[in-house]
Amino acid sequence: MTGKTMSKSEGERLEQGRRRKFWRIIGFILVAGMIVGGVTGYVGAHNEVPIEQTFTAMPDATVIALVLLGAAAFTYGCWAFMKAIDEVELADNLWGSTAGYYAYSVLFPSWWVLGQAEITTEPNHWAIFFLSLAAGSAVYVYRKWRAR
Amino acid sequence: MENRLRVLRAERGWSQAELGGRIGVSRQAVNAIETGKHDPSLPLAFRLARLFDLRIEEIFDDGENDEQK
Repeated sequence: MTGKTMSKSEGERLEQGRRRKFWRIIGFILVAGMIVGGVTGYVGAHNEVPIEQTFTAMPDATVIALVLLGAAAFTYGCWAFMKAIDEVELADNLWGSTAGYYAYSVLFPSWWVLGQAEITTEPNHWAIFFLSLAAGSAVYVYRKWRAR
Repeated sequence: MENRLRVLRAERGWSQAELGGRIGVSRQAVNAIETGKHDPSLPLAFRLARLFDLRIEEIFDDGENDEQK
């Protein structure tokens, strides 16, 4: 059935299905993250170790299994997400990714040079990772907000 | 880019979600196109043109025709 021959409200039903699929994929990625985070937190609490020692307290096989589960779920989720989205969502993702990439390209070399000159400490990779993520997310959210 | 999408949609009594479903995009995408915040790709412009039985330039106006006059 083409868009032209559809009965009234058939389009709304299709759009609702498309939206459900979108949130199902987001939900899948979140659940996978919660499983990895939950197991990590449980093992950490069970062994009574500080959070930064959680992975050293775990058997290597468990750490590898968690990493593989997380990476596989995220990769599959991203692939399914990219297949399910329309061109506006894709453009928002591309703009967000570009902003995040540019932020990283400025932050890391700048901090590294400052670190080499002993003006600051060596670059903190987690800080740079989260700042890059924040820059990308800010651009993505701004584009979503303006197109509401 | 200006367009007549909102008018064409209203003439048929369709919501943005209804139009989105018919052309395979989200309600937000329809809104972004209607308000000129997103210029549709050529395949999407063709889908819209076929849906409304119009030519692409009867829906979208890039302002070039006005400048030539």
